[in-house]
Amino acid sequence: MGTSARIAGHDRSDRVMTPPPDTTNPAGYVGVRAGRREDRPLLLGRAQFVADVAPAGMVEATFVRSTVAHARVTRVALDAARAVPGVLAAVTAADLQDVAGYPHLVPWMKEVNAFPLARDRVRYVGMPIAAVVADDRYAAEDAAALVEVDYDELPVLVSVEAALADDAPRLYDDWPDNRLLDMPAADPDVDRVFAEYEVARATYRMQRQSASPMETRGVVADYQGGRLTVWASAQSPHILRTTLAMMLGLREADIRVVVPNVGGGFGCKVHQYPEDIVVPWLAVRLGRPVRWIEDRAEHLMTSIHAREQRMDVEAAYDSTGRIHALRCRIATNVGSGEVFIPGTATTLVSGGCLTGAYAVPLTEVSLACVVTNKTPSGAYRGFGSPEGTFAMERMIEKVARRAGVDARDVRRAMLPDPGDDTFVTPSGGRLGAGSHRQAFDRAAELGDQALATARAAHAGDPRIRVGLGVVPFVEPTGPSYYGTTAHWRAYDSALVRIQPDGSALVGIGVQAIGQGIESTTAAVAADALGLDVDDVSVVSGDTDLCPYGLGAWGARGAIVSSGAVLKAAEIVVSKAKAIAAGLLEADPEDVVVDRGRLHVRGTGAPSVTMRDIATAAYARTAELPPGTEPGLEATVSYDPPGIDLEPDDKGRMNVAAAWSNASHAAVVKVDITTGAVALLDYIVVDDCGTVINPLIVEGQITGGVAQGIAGALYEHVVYDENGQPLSASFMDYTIPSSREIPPMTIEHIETPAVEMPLGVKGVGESGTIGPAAAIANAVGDALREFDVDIVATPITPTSVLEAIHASGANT
Amino acid sequence: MPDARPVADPVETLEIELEVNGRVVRRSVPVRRLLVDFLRDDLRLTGTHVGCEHGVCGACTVEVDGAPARACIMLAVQADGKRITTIEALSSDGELTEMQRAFHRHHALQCGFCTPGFLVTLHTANPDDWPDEHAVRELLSGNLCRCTGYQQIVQAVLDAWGRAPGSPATTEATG
Amino acid sequence: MKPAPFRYLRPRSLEEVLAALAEHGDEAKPLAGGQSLIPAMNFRLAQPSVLVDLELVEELRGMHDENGALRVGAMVRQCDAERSPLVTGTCPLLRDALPWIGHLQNRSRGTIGGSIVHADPAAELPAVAVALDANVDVVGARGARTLRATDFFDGPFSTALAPDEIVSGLRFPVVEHSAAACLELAPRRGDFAVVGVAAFVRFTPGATRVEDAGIVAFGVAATPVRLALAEASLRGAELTVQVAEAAGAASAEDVARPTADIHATGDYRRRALAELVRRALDSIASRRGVA
Repeated sequence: MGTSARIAGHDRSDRVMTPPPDTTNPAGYVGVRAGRREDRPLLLGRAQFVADVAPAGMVEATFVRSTVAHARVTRVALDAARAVPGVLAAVTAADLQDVAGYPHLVPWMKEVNAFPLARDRVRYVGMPIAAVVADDRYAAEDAAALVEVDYDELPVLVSVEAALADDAPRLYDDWPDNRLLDMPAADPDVDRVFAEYEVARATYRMQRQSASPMETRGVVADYQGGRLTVWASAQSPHILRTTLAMMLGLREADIRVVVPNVGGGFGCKVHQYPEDIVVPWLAVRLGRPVRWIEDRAEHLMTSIHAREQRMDVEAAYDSTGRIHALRCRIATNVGSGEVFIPGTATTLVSGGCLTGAYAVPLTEVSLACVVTNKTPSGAYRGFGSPEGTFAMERMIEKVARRAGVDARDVRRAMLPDPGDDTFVTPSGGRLGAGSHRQAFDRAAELGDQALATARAAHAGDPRIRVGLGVVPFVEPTGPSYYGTTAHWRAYDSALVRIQPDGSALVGIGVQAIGQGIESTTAAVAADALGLDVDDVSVVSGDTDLCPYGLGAWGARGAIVSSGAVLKAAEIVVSKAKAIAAGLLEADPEDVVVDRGRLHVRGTGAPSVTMRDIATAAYARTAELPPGTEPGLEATVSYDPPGIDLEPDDKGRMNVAAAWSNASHAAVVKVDITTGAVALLDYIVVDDCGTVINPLIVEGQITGGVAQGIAGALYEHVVYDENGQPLSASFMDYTIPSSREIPPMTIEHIETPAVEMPLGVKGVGESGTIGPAAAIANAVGDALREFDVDIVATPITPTSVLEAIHASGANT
Repeated sequence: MPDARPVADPVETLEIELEVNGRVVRRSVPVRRLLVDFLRDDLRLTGTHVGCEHGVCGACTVEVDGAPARACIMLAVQADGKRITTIEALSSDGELTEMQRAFHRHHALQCGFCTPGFLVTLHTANPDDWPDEHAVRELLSGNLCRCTGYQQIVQAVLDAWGRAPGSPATTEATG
Repeated sequence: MKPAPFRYLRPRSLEEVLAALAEHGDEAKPLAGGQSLIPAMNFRLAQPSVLVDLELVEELRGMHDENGALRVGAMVRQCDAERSPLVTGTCPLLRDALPWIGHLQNRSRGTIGGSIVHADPAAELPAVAVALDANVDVVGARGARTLRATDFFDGPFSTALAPDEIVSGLRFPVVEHSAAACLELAPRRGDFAVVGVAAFVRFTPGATRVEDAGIVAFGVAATPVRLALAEASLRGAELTVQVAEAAGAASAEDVARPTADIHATGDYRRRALAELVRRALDSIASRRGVA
């Protein structure tokens, strides 16, 4: 059992670089609380982001976007735009004759036939219709304002209910309905259990949200000498390269994707958007570098949204509150669905992870991804788990209330016993070694203490109620991409190259997006190569240098990057030992590596440095042992074990390499006169296996929790009934500030994942999963005298006051 | 630095003279050019970032005559005759400031896109005006961060200002 | 998000400003701190063809005591007013309201006059002006006039100002034996108010009874709304907890159809307004000692 650090108010400078008590490699870098190598240029304002890329002769693009939610486009008039001084091009889909449409990857989804610019139909406000290129963005916007678009408007669908109605108009004329993905379920065993027990029913909803990293998306493209270079703020540079090659008809070897510093991704930058295709196409056509930087209004209107989902849940429970069977019908509002890679897999995760680590013997989960006239939805941190966890945890509260038992007991009874590493979820997730009940008990203990403090602080204030919500959950980590793409699974790659001076260059396929992957990879590589960490350079985001990888998403980096780096390092070290053995006239088996030196086992033995070996490998190759080839590097891929490729006979499959677990406790204060909900305390007890760098893990958690809080209380992408977005600015899409996000307390439990490299599990999404459930339960607890059932997020002052008044209470 | 000169008749471009990071700059700019674009594209001071272009997120914060301002909702011509300091000038010779070092120690930045705005806001602040954690959170509330949840930023500020971190302050959602 | 083209001038005097506005008519727009105008121009919601920068006009600056009123020049920056001992000493309601405006980075540029003329129905300063029955000094090519704040605000983002006029300053009455409070509810710190109250109470000299009150709601209607019923309920009363509560309840009748938008429903605004009025009066009661 591992480290425990209350970081609120305790993270003092003197602890920097102090190893925690339990590290996998006490002599190495893994496990050390170390400041990041990424920080310095960022702190000095010298780090390059995509908007800072400015090749000589660069011009700028902007896009003309649909102003209506659903229409046939009957005419696009570009002449006035083309006449604006400084305009180089104005193009529509008709000009993109040599561009292929987005590929249809996933056979179990219907075809949307997406194309980068609208061909004849627009299905959401903001859909790109034309692109304009001018000397600068100012002139481009002047010209774009002159583009005339004629629409033949069609009926608008904004809700899943409207889109699923029998007589609903269809978004895609050749479909029988508006279901992009439809996975109905029926299980007679479930029916039988429901006939035996009490049944609780409820409909839960989560609202549409926007990832909104502080840096919007952006693309700069330059075509020179038959090669296309694309700088992009993207989470998956290789997949972008593959997509560009397919759609632009270029050889993949002639495309280089470079990702500079990324100002946050959170999922929305895993997709290959229309602008990612059109801007490079314009650069090829114009023979000029072209830049497009998404503005915030564009981001809020057209970068993927997420989480808008309705969940109809039924639970069959006994008198102790134990749930014997669960039915859930999930309908996700995926907007127009015109997004690549597809955005439907969050629904699968919502359904697949619905019951977390709870021993619910039978479940029947139906899934539907429903198209509407809203912006396409896709990946956002948490990826379906916050939605499912919210529904499940609210249902447990409801069941406990109806059974007249303590919801905490219900949860505990359904969580695996400590030490049980055989638990399998109803959808086939093999959770492995975890700390579900320990984490829950500890979070509950800390939550109780915080609640007592809050009670004391607000006792005697007739307008204030306080409450506590504690929820356990799991996080699938290092997941397969197959459910999303029907292609790639979970692998990634690494290049480990010892340079002629003995320093190491590590190239990885996972993308740095601010999560500190360069620092954590350097620690892993330094330990594995026996080098000083300062002699290891880590590079990501250059497809000419880094081996093919799937990018940064799904809390996978720590697993797959570590796995690939360890494999490559093993090859390199083995060869280094062989060379050392030659130089030292010893047996390779007797050579050990330690901090840049290789020596023969035993004290006082002669040694050589990695530099000596590299010199032999690259320069003084005559000194190499017979048969040894010059050079000292390896490029390998790593596919984590344990992921099922096919479902079993019951349709179950394990889709993640590992499963982290955590419990969150939220203590809230509700003002019953204004409906204001304030967070007084937020507690996280997290188990992501081996911690490579506690500083970074805690950062992932606090940031994830903040986004979860944002979704629980503050952020909402709102449309009116005509499909017009009403929250397309930061005035209306209200990302919380330092005043709204509370201090947090974090404790770690480390239960290493047996089969994973170093025992790591992953933590990138965890923080985001718990808050909606924990906060909703805390608000419900605070308002229990009013019998308020929180069934939807965001929990706003309006919704709280309405619920209190609907209860008939006299406040 | 001379004050801005009057402009008697309407113009589309204007020669402006201002002090940027201690150096006098004289340039002709289109009058609609935003200060942030002037700094980034004309002067190539790309450490100041564009996050929203409507004055909410704070990524573009620069110091104007000693006070923090949002460069995305200020015209370059409004900076005529003024003294501007950007992130690039907070430290000299690449030596991190005390605050920058504290940000590093506490992991107060992840993607780092918002960081220059926070650092410039902090650079203009007098610690005595922001005596406790609640006040520090108020000071920082005009800069949005999407990565950290603010916790480590607040800790870095308290540390850099030599404050013992006290008990976590209550954070109110509203008034 | 870049502004549409325009032409720019920067007059040295009020006279030149007025001449420019007279010449360019409603094509022209005065530029003060730009904290609302430039975002609107970035969104291209505002596309003035001539921008008249008021930066150099000395006549629009300065704060002083003027015959029992606090005179604040239109171009006084909000941060300067916030730090001014004169404002703190003579106009506690204004002092109380200023920190609610946006963030530091906005108040460093934003001006008192700019906020008044922008007339955002959810903004603080228009409500303060109405609550105190401030005078709005207006100048134009055709001469100067003074409007009562109550008569100045026509509707959302709309005022009684003619295109060739500007606000030169505001005069807030300095009232003895008074106390004030500004409170608001907003999604986040620094946002425009979902519901706000600017309240000011004048007490009888040496006594605890309310002589007069100015209570104004903002964020709930097209303009700042004077809560006449709430004010009436206070006159002559001791400012007790019950009286504050009753005034809050009365305020619900003062706003016929509260604004409904994505941040809150009309019902919410009505209910929360009653509570904010009560709190403002509680706060005033506790501050009365220093009045």
